[in-house]
Amino acid sequence: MKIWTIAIFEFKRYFKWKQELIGIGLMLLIFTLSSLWPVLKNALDKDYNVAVLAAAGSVPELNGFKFQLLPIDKKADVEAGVGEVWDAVIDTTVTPVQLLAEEKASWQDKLKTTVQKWQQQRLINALPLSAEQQQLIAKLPDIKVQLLKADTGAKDDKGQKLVSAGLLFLLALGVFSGFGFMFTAITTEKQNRVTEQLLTLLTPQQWMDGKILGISLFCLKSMLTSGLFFFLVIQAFRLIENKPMQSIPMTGFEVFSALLFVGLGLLLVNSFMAGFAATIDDPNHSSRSIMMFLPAAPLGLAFSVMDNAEGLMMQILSLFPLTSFAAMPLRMANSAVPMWEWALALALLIGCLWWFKTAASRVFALGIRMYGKEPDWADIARAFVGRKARI
Amino acid sequence: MLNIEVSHVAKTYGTVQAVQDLSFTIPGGQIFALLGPNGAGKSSLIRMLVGLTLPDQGHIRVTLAGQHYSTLPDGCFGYLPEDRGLYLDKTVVENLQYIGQLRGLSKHQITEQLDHWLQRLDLLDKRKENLSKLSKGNQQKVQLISCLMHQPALLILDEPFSGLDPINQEHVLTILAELKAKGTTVLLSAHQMALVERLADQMMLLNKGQVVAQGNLQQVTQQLDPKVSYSVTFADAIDTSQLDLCSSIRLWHMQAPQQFLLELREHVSVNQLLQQLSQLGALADFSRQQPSLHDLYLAAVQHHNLTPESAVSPSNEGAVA
Repeated sequence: MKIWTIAIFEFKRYFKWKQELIGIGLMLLIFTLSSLWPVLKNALDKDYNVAVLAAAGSVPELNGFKFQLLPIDKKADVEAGVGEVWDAVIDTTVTPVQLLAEEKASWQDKLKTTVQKWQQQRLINALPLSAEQQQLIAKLPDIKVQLLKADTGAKDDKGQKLVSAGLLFLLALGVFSGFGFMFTAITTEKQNRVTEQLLTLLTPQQWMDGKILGISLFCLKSMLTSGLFFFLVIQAFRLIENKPMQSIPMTGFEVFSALLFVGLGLLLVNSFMAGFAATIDDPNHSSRSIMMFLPAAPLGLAFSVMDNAEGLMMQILSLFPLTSFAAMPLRMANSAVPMWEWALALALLIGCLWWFKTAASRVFALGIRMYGKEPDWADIARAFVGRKARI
Repeated sequence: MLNIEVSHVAKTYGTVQAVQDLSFTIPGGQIFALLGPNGAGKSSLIRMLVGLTLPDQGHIRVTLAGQHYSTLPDGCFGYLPEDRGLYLDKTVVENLQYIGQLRGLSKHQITEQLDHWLQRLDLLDKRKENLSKLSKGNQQKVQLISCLMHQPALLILDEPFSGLDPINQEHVLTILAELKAKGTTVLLSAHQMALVERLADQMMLLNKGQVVAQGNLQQVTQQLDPKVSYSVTFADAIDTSQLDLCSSIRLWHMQAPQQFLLELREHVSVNQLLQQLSQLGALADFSRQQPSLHDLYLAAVQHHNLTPESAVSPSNEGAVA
């Protein structure tokens, strides 16, 4: 009961309707600006004038550039106008094709790539081939994928990428929110001695459990509201573009599993951070704050193997309790996972969480007993494994 | 009523001996004061009593309603820490409601207690204000309410008067006297000797983790071996060099023109002093000066600091049974 009282208090400390609405407003503003940005950029950027010296035929096409086909006999006049009339001149009369400009500029790379493709098409067109043959050369060949097993759990590729990237982004959001809130909540209260009075009403375990639960719930809330917001924005854009609605290629069980693993993962990460924050006596002068970034490592590992969801490394990461909260949802979003692996990963994660949260309260109790002094690494290690502290 | 028996308790932080072999009893329904300069060991002792730290040696025995405990039972005490600990970003009511909930009080009980104490401590109009916006004294009062709202059998107050103006100090004194009358045991540490003198039934003077004196005011005064001094005022100006020649005077200093504070040599009677003084000039006033607890405290701590090994051992008579 006391744990829930603390958890609700902590949740409400950080949850403020006004801030939530301001946050959503800001995200909407950022989305609007980012969608309007290309239009604004095109409107502000000048068009580059490019002269194309060629006998006849088409000119390249590129946004932001105006191409003009000019006869070869005007070469001298055109080249004399570089820097004033023309930003660049494409001379097809020489081999290789020459791009003449007054000085080096960043837009030339884009122009060069376009001219390369244009010239390649011109060369193909010049070959003594039929239209079908020319098309065959210019186009990438089709590959038809034939699977021997009808249902391998493979999923819609675009949807998979969306879900995987979204999950990792939201997890990072949750983990880093937890870092900030946990660091502030524990170190500040410890410094202000708020905990001194509270610990005469509570056990260190109750206080830590309440804090971890409350802040993890807040992180989960941030993840869910941000996820829902981005999903709705994507749907709105698709509606505007007259495209079909984006579906999430996950079953109800997979969504439930993702929430379960992510929720437990947040509790695990926040237990770790709570334990570390509890060893810091003065956040302004402690070198241990950097250790609190460690929980970001599982996200990095999961990201590094995201492109091979069926690989052995992904399998190991999805079972290992310190990384399964990030790897298992990614793996499930991309391929079928045997039930026994899912159950084993869940059991290991719960066991690890239980150990971490009890260790966090032991470390916290140690920090409080040392009063004004940070426990050293040996003391922390002893508390972590459940041995009596040397104080 | 709640009794506490502390037996041979010691605590060391690194190389610092914060508390050295302390033994005492806090009888139920009394006000027990811990006195001593900064670093004397008062807060370390209190932290052990409330269970925030464990003694390196010795034990603490608590008796409540005939039952014995090795630590203070949950919910039976209220603790006001030396460094105030409440949420500055929360309102007065939010802070107190949270503490009340953690103490297991019902919503009705919390409301009842809040209304009573906020009114009693003149904080009703501040109930919706964030703690950060209150003065230090008002924050102190909110903290005090958080210790009182569950009507504990024992109240442990570490520097309860710090930050309070004289009017609020009186207010708190009255509240503590009322709680004592209702049977609440109070343990407090303070620097305000004049207040402690008026309030405490028993007191213990600590220095460098050791007991310098303990007992009631009279016992403590005796243990601190006060030097009696006399104030004399002459009707006319005198030659002050004559005071040095008086065989009955050990020390003197001028308080005002014609007014002097005198300390007698050993085995000299007041009559002998008066005889010698009257030879110096006509006396306008003569009185005995009783040292205050504050003076005794300062003298005892200075003496103890100079000769730590000569710490006064509390007599059996002085110890509280």
